[in-house]
Amino acid sequence: MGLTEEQVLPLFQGNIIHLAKLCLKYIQQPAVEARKLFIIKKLMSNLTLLYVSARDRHMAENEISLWKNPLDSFVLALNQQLVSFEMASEGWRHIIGDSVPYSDLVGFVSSSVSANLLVLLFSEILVEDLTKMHAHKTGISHLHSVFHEHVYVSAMAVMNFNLQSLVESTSLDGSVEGQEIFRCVGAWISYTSMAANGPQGRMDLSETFDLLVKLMCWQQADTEFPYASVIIKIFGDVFANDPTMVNFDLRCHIEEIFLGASKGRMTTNNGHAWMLRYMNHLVVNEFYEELKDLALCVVDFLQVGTLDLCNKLFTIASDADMNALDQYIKVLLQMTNFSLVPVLQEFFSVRMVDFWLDLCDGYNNLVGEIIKPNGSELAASIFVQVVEIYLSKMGLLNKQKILHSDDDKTMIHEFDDFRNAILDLMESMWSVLGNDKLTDVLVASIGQLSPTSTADMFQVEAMCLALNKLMGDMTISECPWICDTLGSKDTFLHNVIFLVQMGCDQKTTQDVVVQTLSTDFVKTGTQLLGTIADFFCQDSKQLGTCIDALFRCLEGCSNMNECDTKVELLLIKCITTLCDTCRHQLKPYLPNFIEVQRLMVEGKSQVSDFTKQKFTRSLGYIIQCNATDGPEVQGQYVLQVFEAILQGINQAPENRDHVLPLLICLSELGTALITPEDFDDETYLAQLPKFREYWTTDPLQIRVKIKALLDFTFSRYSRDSELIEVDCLIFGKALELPDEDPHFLRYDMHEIMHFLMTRSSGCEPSTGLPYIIYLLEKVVNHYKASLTPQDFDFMLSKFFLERHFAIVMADPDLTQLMVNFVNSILDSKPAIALNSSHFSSFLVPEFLKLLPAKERFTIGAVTKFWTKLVNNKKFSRQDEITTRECIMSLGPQLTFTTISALFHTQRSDLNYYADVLRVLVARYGLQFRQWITQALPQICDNGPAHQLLIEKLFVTRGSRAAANAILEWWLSCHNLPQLSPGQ
Amino acid sequence: MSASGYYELYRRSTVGATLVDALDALISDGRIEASLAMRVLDTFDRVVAEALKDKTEAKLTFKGHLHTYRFCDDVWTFIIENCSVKVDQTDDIKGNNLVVDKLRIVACNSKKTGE
Repeated sequence: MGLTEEQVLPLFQGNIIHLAKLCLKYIQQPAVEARKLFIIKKLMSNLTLLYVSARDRHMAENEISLWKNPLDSFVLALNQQLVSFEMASEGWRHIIGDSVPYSDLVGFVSSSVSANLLVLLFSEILVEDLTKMHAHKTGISHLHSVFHEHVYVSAMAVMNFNLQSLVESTSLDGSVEGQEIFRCVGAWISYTSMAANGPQGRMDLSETFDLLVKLMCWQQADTEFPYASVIIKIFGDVFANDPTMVNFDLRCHIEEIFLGASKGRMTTNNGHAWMLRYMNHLVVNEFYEELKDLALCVVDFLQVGTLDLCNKLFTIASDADMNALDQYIKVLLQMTNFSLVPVLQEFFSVRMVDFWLDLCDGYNNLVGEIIKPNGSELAASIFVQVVEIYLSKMGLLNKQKILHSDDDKTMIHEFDDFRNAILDLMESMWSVLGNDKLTDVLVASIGQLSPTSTADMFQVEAMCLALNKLMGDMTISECPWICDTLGSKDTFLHNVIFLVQMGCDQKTTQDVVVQTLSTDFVKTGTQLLGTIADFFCQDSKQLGTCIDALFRCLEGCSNMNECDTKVELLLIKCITTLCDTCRHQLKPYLPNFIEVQRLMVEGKSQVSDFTKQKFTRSLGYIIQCNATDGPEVQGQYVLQVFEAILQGINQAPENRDHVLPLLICLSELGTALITPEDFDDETYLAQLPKFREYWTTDPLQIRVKIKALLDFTFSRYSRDSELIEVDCLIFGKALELPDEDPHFLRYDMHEIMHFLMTRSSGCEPSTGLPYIIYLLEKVVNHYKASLTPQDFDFMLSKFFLERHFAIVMADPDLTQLMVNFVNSILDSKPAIALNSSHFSSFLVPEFLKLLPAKERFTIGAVTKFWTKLVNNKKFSRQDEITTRECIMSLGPQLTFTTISALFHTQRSDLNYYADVLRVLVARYGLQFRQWITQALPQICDNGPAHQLLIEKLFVTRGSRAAANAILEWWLSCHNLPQLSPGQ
Repeated sequence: MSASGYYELYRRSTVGATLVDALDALISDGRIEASLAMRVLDTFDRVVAEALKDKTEAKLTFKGHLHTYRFCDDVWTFIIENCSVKVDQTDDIKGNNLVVDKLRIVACNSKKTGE
């Protein structure tokens, strides 16, 4: 704050006189003067600030430096009726330095409600302001020790006196004063927690906590709990943030109050009668917010001692009374199984997920040798009960109740989060329970049910959801025993499929709640089927039933509403996963798949475009692995699919929205026909040369036919960028594959270049050219070994410099596209760019001109070009010689242009230019000193900053720290402050 | 940590950097003092932190191999390799995954000192 000792004293005197005046008026007429309370609060804040200044260690010793206790000064000023400077009859030294004895302090706060309120208020403001200051003011730890020694004593006396009065009172007190006590206590708890790490030790609040516990349990009649909710909130904050503030004995006492049992004292005294009454009061009156606060407080409290409980329960290190612990666990399980709807009405089960997760992780982390002989059985018996409770809690029956009661989606999201948290808990409990007590039990339970109602299906759904999580972490193909379990009961899969079917049957209803739940049914069922897809590879006898059911469900989808569309997406995702994983097993169904696909791509089909595309991909997976009968059969299948697509397009070629998705289907087929890396079918590998030969010669002319189709659609939609994108995807499909991999879309370079030039000449450059250039980059990358500088010149001319030059230079996106194309060449084979005729005639001069561009895209691309040109690991020896000659002749101009552009750019773009300067310093250090020394004075007149920049650049030698030196120079030249740290 | 007790790290985000550029322009034109720019940025730090805490619903899940983890100066850093990232948008169930070679997560304590 920078106040001197001479300034602090008069400010203090003026401030406290004014404060005393207003407070005395308030004490006399609290109702009339209440509106001035905000001024009083501000004056109290000012006093706090002055107190901090007065306690500044660097301040010289004087009268104000003796000021140790603002609370006492405040009481003295009011006692003395200090309303003018002259009235400080006993001198300012008395107001500043004297202490107020306990009896006087208590006497003052007892004198009137308003006096009491003001003292509490000042006490609260003092600690609140100090807490705020602590966050950003260093060197005030000594203040905390003075505070501890003086203010703490007075404040505790006042607070505890007030709390004790409430404890002893016989009537309810909901007054402003009553509320102020708890606010003051809350502020002191925060402050004490924050200032705990000082040399003076922690300020002890035990007496206050003790009184708070008494007040919490204070009851006027069976139905009146005047202070419980506010105190539970206070304790909730303490247990969440700094639970050790409450001493061990009091924690044991609180444990007995909350749970009726204490693991600390090993007692079971049924002392939680109050808690049961209070919970009953909240439930009966539907005070769910208060019930939530209680749950948060209790579970935060429990989490303080999870590790201790874990050790007592499961390790040989403890000789705890197991009966007491049994009782303790029983209470916790009852609390978890709180008989209300989670999220909507109760939060115990929600918060207890974290507790059980901690306990479970604690058990999993125990070393085997220290676990009790019956430790694992005990853990299993506890967690089996937890599983049972949560399977019921996570059921969609509860979601149904929430949906019926709440229009706001927040609670639904919270319930979904709760389900996800339970799944994480299940995953952790699996480590304790293993497959035999968890996975197998879930599979068996799903199989044992004979669901006849929605309520039964809620159970199936919850178990499927849990199973899906557990199975997701397993490699089913390597777990034969899991496959045995899954295959042991046909009813298991039957019920999972039934879950999907029931969801699909219910989706047509108009009831939004039923729609939401039916989507959840389908989601859980299809996800589980997808997760256990590997099982069908081992045991495929039910795969057909499963696929048939999914097809039937898909058949019932018509995209009539949002729910229907979601269900269709879930079904097709499941089918795609099954086809991908079980492609071998599904070969017999290939003719049916082809027929279904033919119907899907017809003009009158109602299935979504996404489904058409994913289904074609699914079909492609099966065709891909159909190698046993040789490439001719595969070729026939591909032709059939293509002809179905062609026929579909020919039904409505004028309908662009019909043509586009069908072309995407073709691209999806191409993707599916890529052989997976881990594909180890020996029949296929043995026939690989035949496949290669077949697709090279392409006897069915599939490639020609596809090209003809694409040319046909291009002739109709040449300006449509989305069609160009799909065309490019189809033409470039095989470019990322090794040359030896057979593929029906393997066009040669000549065909692709011809295709690209046709598209380039006919397209709308601003939207179509990016896709064309993207494919061109892939061509360059694939054929880089055979490309020459002349090829590069040709590409640059045809795609950028001839037809589209004007628009490329005018449109920053296209400019960036061109520069990035050149950059991609510098990344893959720089020699073809360096030795091209366009390099010196176009690239160097034009890209130099682009350096001072205003658009960030252009700056980013062009600075990358210069960075790669100056320093490139892909350079050969010859490339190095070529670029060195270029940079040596261009150095002064490049340096000047870069620095000039940097000077005129905005702060957020500095790093782009800094990168160029960094590589120049690193690679051409000797020459760069001369270039930059010449360049800087031409930019602006700031000699010292220029000199400092040069020195720093050479000290940092191109490291990241150089960027900071450049920022400092830029700030200095523009007279701007450093607003962000470490740019 | 800025004077207001909030992290300054969002100043390096696109929106933060753009705000800094705008403030630079205003200072250069003599329309505001540097001290006001500082106040604006302090407010920005607070508002971004609060908005991210209170007004975001999107969730991101990721799975991969933990390559590096460290906890230094109250900042956690995780580097995850071969990471599959999925942004859960409630209404988007197509749920396309994004696979990245390397994901770096920098996490700071959301609770300010004293909270």
